[in-house]
Amino acid sequence: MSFPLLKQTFKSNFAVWGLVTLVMNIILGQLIMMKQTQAIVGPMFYGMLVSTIIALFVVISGNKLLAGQVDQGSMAYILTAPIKRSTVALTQIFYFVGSLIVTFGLLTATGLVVNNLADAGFHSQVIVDLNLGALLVALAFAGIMFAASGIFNLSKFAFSTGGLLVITFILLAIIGSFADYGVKGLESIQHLTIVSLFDYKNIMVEGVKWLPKLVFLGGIAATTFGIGTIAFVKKDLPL
Amino acid sequence: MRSIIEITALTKDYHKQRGIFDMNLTIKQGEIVGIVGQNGAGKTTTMRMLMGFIKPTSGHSTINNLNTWQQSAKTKKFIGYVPGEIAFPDTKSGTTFLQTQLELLHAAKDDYVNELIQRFKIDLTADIKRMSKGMKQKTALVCAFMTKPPLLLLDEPTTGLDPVMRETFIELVLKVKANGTTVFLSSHMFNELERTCDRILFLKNGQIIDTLNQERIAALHHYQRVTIQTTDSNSAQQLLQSNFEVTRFDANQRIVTLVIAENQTQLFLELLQHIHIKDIDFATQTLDNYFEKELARN
Repeated sequence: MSFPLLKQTFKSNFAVWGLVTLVMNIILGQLIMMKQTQAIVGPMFYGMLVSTIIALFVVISGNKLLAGQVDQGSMAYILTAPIKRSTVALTQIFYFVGSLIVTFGLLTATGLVVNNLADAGFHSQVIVDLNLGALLVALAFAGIMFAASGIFNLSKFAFSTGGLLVITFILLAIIGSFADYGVKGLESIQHLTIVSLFDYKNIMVEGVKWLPKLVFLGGIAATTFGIGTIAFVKKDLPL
Repeated sequence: MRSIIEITALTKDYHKQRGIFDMNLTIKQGEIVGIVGQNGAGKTTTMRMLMGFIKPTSGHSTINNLNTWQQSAKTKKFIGYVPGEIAFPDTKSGTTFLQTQLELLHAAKDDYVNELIQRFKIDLTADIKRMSKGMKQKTALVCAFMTKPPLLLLDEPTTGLDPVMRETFIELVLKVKANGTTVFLSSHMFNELERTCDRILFLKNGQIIDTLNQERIAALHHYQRVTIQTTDSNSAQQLLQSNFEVTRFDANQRIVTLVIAENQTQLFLELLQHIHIKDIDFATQTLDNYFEKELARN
């Protein structure tokens, strides 16, 4: 890993990361705080909002980590230093995964604290597990975006593959969720999106089915991060 | 002197005759080698292969005996690089850019960096996104030179520089040359190559078709290019039929350009006595003219 590069990456992504993290914490805090909205913390926040908001950060930063800098040409300066391409990729992955862990760590803390303050009655374990699930969705998204970013030299291609795939998964999850509100015919759509591997309903009833599904999400993340790294190491760079 | 760059049968085939083909080249330590050619001739491809940014289709190249593709990261310790297209990372100003770059290179800002900044008269406080092309180019040059690398790979290092700064650049190259630095640069500006390079390679369609060493560069100056506009076509015909080399002929305007060697002056003056001259112009042959001729021939 390259510490100077990590610092540079952290700085250049700080604004979008900070904003997304702040917004998610405020929304979650508000929802748990008020009696009327506590019921939608599960279906609304963890079922839809959390993956939609984090996708903003994932898509924007995921592109910037590799493809954006190759497209712009500034990657030349990183690779002028005696740093292996694999080190560059691993450093960017470390940042990406690390920043998402921090985001959901903060979100867990906010959830626990506000739950306590407002006496909302969620079990602490449920709050922790919900955030773990949301984190794994975010990591899978991040992996997909990173793979696109590693494969392509142009931002537009990274966005139109990785970004589009992430958005499609979110849209399918939203459409699929209508099944919960009476449109039974849409239930099958839930099988088309990786977002449904985060089984928040099962977590909320403290079941056991949700954990193996999260392992699957972890597998997607590991594979796609691997693909991105290998592609970036092997390809020709127009720098 | 030991060789620092070794290029062996290096090929990068982009198809449709683009890329570079079967290139062989050795550059010794302390040598300054220039590479010229039209757009698309393969200059940047050559530089990128040496930087390990692109994988050769076949053949290989080494820097200090390290393979430039497989051991690219290790070779970077010896290289200062100016890319053909300058684009800086997201950062505030030139100062912050140079700072992060020094960190990446595990170097500290020393007097030499300041000297370079002053030499090129760079305002590093300026917003990096609003920098002019010339300012960016100068910042990139400082970046390449600042760690005193033993090898400099410079892809069109003087684009966007004004004549004064081009002069500064030439002085700097000559200065680092005196310290034994090896420089491999591509350029469109023949006169700067002429003053700095030990060797100039002429690249066309991905192949080195001609190499000029110092002697051959010096020999170019022993020729005059004389451009004559005659008053009548008869005189023009006489010029064309003379024994001198004709490099240009415009039948409409009756303009003929001849190349005259130093020892042919007397013969040439005799020829002129029979010609009705409207206008005449003398110029020493330069690399520009030479390569123009070369291009036309091939």
